[in-house]
Amino acid sequence: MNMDRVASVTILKDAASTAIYGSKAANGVVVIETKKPEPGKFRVTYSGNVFVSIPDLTDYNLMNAAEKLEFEQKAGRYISELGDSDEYLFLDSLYNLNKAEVARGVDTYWLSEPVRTAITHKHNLYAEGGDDAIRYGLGFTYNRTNGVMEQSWNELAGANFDLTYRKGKLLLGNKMYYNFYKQEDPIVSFAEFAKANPYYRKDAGTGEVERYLVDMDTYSGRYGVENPLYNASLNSFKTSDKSQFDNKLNAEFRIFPELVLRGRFAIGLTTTKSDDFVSPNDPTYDNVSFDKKGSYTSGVGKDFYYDGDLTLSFGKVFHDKHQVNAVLGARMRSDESTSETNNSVGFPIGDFTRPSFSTGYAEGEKPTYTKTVSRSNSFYFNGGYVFDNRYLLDANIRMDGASVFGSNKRYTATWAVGLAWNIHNEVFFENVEVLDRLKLRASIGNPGNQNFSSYQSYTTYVFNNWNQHAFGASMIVSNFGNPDLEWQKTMDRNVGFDLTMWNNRFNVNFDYYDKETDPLLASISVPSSVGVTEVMTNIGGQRTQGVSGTVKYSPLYRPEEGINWTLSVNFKHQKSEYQNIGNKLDQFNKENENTSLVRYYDGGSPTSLWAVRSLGINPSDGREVFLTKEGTYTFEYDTEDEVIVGDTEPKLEGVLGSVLYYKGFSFSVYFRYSFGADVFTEATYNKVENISREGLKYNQDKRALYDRWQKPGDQAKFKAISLTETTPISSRFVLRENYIKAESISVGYDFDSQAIQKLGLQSLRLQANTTDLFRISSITEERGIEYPFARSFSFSLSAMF
Amino acid sequence: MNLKSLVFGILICILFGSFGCESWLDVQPEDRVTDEQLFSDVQGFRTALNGIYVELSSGSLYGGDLLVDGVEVLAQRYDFSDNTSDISRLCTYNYTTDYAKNKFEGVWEKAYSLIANCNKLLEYADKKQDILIGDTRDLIIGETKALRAFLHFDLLRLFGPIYATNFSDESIPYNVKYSISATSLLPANEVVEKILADLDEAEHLLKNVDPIIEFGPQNSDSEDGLNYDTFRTQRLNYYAVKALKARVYLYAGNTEEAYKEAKAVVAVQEQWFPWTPYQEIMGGTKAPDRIFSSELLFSTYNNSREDIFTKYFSPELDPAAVYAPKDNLDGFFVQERDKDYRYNPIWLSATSRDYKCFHKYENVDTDSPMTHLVPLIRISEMFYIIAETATDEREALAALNTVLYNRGLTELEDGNRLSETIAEEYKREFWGEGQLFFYYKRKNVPSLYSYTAGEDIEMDATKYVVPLPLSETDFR
Repeated sequence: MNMDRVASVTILKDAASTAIYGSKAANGVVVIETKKPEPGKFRVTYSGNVFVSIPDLTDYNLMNAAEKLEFEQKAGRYISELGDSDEYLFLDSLYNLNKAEVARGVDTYWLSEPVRTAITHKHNLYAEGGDDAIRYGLGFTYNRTNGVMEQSWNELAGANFDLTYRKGKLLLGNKMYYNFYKQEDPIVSFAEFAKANPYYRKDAGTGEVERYLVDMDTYSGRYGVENPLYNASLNSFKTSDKSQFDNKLNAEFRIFPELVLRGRFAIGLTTTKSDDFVSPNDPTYDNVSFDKKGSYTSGVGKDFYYDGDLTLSFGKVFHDKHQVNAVLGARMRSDESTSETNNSVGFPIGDFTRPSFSTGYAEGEKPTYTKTVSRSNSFYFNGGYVFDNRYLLDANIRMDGASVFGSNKRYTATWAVGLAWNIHNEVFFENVEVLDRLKLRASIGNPGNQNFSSYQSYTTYVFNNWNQHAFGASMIVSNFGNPDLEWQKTMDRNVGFDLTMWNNRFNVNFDYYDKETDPLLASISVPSSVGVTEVMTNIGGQRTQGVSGTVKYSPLYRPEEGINWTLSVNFKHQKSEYQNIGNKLDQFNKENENTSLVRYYDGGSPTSLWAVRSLGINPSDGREVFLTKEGTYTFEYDTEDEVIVGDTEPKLEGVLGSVLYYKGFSFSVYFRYSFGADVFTEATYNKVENISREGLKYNQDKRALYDRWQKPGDQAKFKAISLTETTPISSRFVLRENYIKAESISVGYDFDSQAIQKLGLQSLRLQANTTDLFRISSITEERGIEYPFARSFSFSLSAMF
Repeated sequence: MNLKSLVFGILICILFGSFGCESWLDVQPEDRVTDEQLFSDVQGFRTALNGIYVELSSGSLYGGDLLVDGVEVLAQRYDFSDNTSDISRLCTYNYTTDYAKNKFEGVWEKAYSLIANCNKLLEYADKKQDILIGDTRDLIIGETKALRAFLHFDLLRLFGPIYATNFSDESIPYNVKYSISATSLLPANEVVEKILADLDEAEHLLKNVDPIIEFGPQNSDSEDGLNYDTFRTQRLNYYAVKALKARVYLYAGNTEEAYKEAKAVVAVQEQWFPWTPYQEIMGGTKAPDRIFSSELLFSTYNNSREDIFTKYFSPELDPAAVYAPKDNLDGFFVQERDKDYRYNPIWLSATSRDYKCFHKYENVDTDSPMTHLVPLIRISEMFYIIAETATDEREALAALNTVLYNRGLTELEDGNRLSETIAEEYKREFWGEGQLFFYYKRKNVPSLYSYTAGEDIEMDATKYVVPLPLSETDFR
C-alpha cells in the first residue's frame, strides 16, 4: 500500500479490543485506515520517491586466490581419500593448474560481477474533488524497482477510483483499484558467484566468456566447473506478472441517532503468470540429447475472494452517567485459488524461447493443477458499559465457523472480558492539574488459535494415480489422523495502565501479560512399523509471561510555534516455560540431539538452547575439549552432557526514538536495541567448521583459514583445518548478543504554505530516509550469500496542488 | 430510500444466505477425502484396496528392492566387481552403509505403511457392515487380509531370523489394527501363526466368491470396463492365497501342509494356469512373452515397468552400474542353456557390450497387459514345493520333471540330483523376481559365491538377517 494514502495505523493488542476480530487475531491486530477525499475542493496530490541501493560487499570476507589454494591444500582437497593412484595423478594436475594460475597473479573478485547500484523510483498522482453529497478521487501509480542484482527488477502500474455518497441518514462509499505488476529475477544466484574460486579467470584472455572455468578429461570422466558469468549471459529468464482487481463497498445507515446499521462487501481477483525458461545452452544439459535440451515452465494462478459483513450498533448515554453500547455483527469470507503449471523441453539453440518451439512435455511429467476453496463466517456480540466515565466494562462473545476440512465441528466460540478504571475522572483527582489521564485496565479472554494445520486429527486419503491399472480409481492414506487430538487452547490475561501528564508532554503505557496454552500440539516420532514415522499429539502446556510498555517525553513542546521534540522508548521482556510435558517428548528430544538446540522439558523454555558445554580448542592438538555434566574435561562428545547453554529470548528489547519538529523541519531517528539474547551462530558453524569435502571445491570464508588451529601452541577459536569430521553442536557456537542498530533515520522539510502558494501549491514536503545505517553489536553479523547485502537511501517529494 | 433498500437488501441476502445453511461452509478439496467420506460407499472400499495394489509397484517394494534390487543383490545375482560404490559393499552383506540402511528402511516403512492402509480398510469394513455387504464384502476383506499377510511375510523373510534354526527369535511386529503406538516384536513362529491365520481367513472368504474359481484369471477387460471380476491374477486371488500358504508353510518347515496347499493349486494348473508355449515366449510375429504370463498366480501391474529395465538392466547403462552377472551368467544356466526357454528369449546380447543383459522387464509391443506385469507368485513354484515335500519320491520327481519339460530341458531319470536341481531351478526360474535370497535363507545355505567379491562368502545370521532400520529401533 502507498504510504501517502494512509491516514492512520492503529495496533490493538489486548483481548477486549481484539476479540471483535476473532480467532485470526491471536497475535494482535493492525488497523489501517486510508484517507478520504476532502469535500468541496478539487485538488491534486503528487508524491515521488527515489531509492538508491548500493551493494556493500565489504563484510563478505571471502578468501583470495592464494588463501583459497593454501586452505584447500591444508584441508586435504588434493589427497585421495581412497588412496587411489589415478585420483592422485588427477588431483596433482589439478593442484598444479590452480597453483600456476595463482602464480600468474590470477585473483578474480567474483562478488562484484552480478551487482550494481540500483535506482528505484515511485510516483503517485491523486486527484480528488466533489461536494457535500458526492465525492470522488482518481489515482495513478507507477513504480519501477531495480534490484542490486543485475537482471532483477519489477514494475507496477496502477489506477484507483474512489466514490463516496452521503445523503441524510445514508452513507455509501466505494473503492476500486487495478494494479498490473511485472517482475524479472536473476537466473544465476549471487551464491553461485560467491562460490566461484578466485583462482579462476573470468575469460581466457580472449574477452570471450567460456562455458567452463575448468574443463578436464580425467581418469573417471569429465571434470568441469560451471562459469556463472557464462550462465548469466544465456537467454534464460525468470519472469512473472500479476494483475489485481479489487472493489470494496461500504454502506452506513443511521436508523436513529443511537442505532446504526453498517455493511461492507468486497470482491477481488488476482491472476498471476510465471515463465521460467532455461536455455538449451545451459551446462546442465551437456549430457542430454539435443531434443531434450532447454526447458520452459509456465504457471498460472488465480485467486478470487469475496468478503462481507453487517453490523448493528447501538450506543447511548442514560441519565448522563450510564453509557451503554452494543454491537451485533455477522461476517463471511470465501477464498478460492487455483494454480496450474506445465513444463516443456527440447528447444533449438538460438532465440527460440517460447513453448511452441519445444519438442514436447518432459518425459514422465504431467501438468499440475490444484484448487483450494476456503470459507469462513462468524457472528459476534460486543457489549460495553461505562459508569460516569469512571468505570468501564467490555465484553464480547463470538462464534467462528470455517470450512475446515474434515471437521464435524465447524463452529468455535471465543470470548473476552475487560475492565478499566479512569482514575483521573475521580473526584479526588480533580485538582491534580499535572495529571491528564490515568487509566487502569485488565482483561481476560480466549482469543482462539487457528494458526496450524487443523485437519491433523483426520485420516485423509489422496489419489495415487502414478500407476494406473485396470481397476479404476485408487487412493492411499496421506495422513493417519489421531482422533484423540485436542485443540490447542489459549487463555490470555492482561493488566496495564495508561498515564498522561503535563499537557500530553509525558506519556506512559504499561502492560503485563500472561498467556497460557494448554494443551500444545506437537509432532513426535514413533517406530516406523506403526506405518508412519511421526504423529501429532498433545503435550503439556506453555506459559508466557511478560511486560511491555512505552515511555514518551517531550523536552521541547511548543505546538503553537511548530516546535516539538519527543523522545520515546519502548521495551519488552518476556519468558516462557513448558509445563506438564513429563517424558512424552523424550524420543523427540533424543532425535534432536546434535541436530538442533531445541528440547522439550518441564520448566524449560521454547527459546532455551541445549548443547554440550565446550571449553574451546586444545592448543596442543587442535581438538575440542568438552565439559561433562559432572564438570570434568573430556575429548569425547556425549549428548548425555547436554545442558542449557543459553536462551534466544533477549532480557530486554525495544526501540529508542527521537523525533524533532522545528518550523517545518523534521528529523527522526529510531534505534532498535536488544540485550541478553544468546544465538547459535549457524553461519560460523557451517562456514568456518563443518566444510564438507564437496564444500572445499567452492570459495569459503577467510576465517576457515586464519582462525583455525594450525600448529601446537595456537590459541585458536576453531578446530584444526585438517579435521574434516563433522563438528558436533556445542556451546562454542552459542554467543551472547547485545546490539543497538540505527533502524531508520529520516530528515524532512515542509515548505511554508504561504511561501509556496505563488507556485500554485498547497503543500510541499521533501524527505530523505535511510534504514540500517549502522549496527553496534557484540557479535559480527553474518551476511547471507543468497542475495547481496545493500544499503538503501531514499528521497521523496510530496506536493499538493 | 430505494438505493438504500437495494444495497442492504443485497448485503443481507448474501450474508444470511451464507449463514442460513451449513452447506455454504461445506466445501471439499478436490484432491483428498477423509476416511469417513471415502468409506461411505462400496466404491470407496474398492478405491482404497486399489490404492494398496498400486503401491506394491513402488521402488521400495515390488518395483525395485523386493524384486530386482535389494534382495536380488543379496542373492548374489550380479557382478559389481568394477563398481566401488556402496552397492558393492552390500554384496558382502555390509548393512552399515547409509546406502544399505536407507534401502532397507525404505522397504520396512513402505510395507508397514501399506499394512496400515490394509488395517484402515478392515477397520471400516467392520464399522460399515451395512455398506460393504454380500460377495463384494467377502472378496474385499479376503484380498485385504491376504495382502496384509503377504507384506508381513516378506518382511519376516527379510528382517526375521533364519527360521530353520532360530524360529523363536524376536522378529517383527504383526499389525492387525492401526494404532499410533507400536506393537511388540514377536518371535518368528508367532508371526507365522498370524500370517497363516490371516491367510486361512482370506481363503475361507474367497472360496465362495472369487470368480477365478469358476471362470479362471480372465485376462481381458470386462464388458462394462469396471473389471470387478476380471484380471484376477493381478489381485491376491483364491489360488494365489493357497500358493502363498504353501510358500509360508514351506518356509516354516511344515512340509505336510505345504504339500497339501501346493497340490490344491496344481490341481487347476491345466485348466487355469497352462504352461506358456515356446512360440509365445519367443514371440515370432507377436510380442515375446518373457514373463510366461499364463503361468502367473499373482502379479502386480506396473505402468512404468519399462523403468525397471532402463534403470537396472539396459545395455545402455554404464558397465560398472548395470545389474548383470556378466561373464558369470552360465553359473546360473549350467545345463542345456541354449535349450532353456529362460535363457535366449530373456538374455540378449548387445553389440556394444561383451555381456548379456536381462530383458524380462523390457517393454514389448502388445496390447495385452503382459508388458506391464511383474510376477510375484508363479505356478512353477508349486511344482518345486511338491518336489521338495512329497513323501513319494516318484511324485516328487514327476513334479520337477513337469517344470523341466515345460522349460525345454531334459527330464531327470531318477531322484539322485533332485534337490540340487531344485536349487538350480530357483536360480534360473526366479531371475529378477526376488525369491532366490529367501530360498538360500530358508535352506540356511552355508556359503554363497559372490561375483563382486570374487570369493565364497561364509553365510551366517549376521548376513542372512537384515537389521531392523533405525527408524524402528531408535524409537522403541
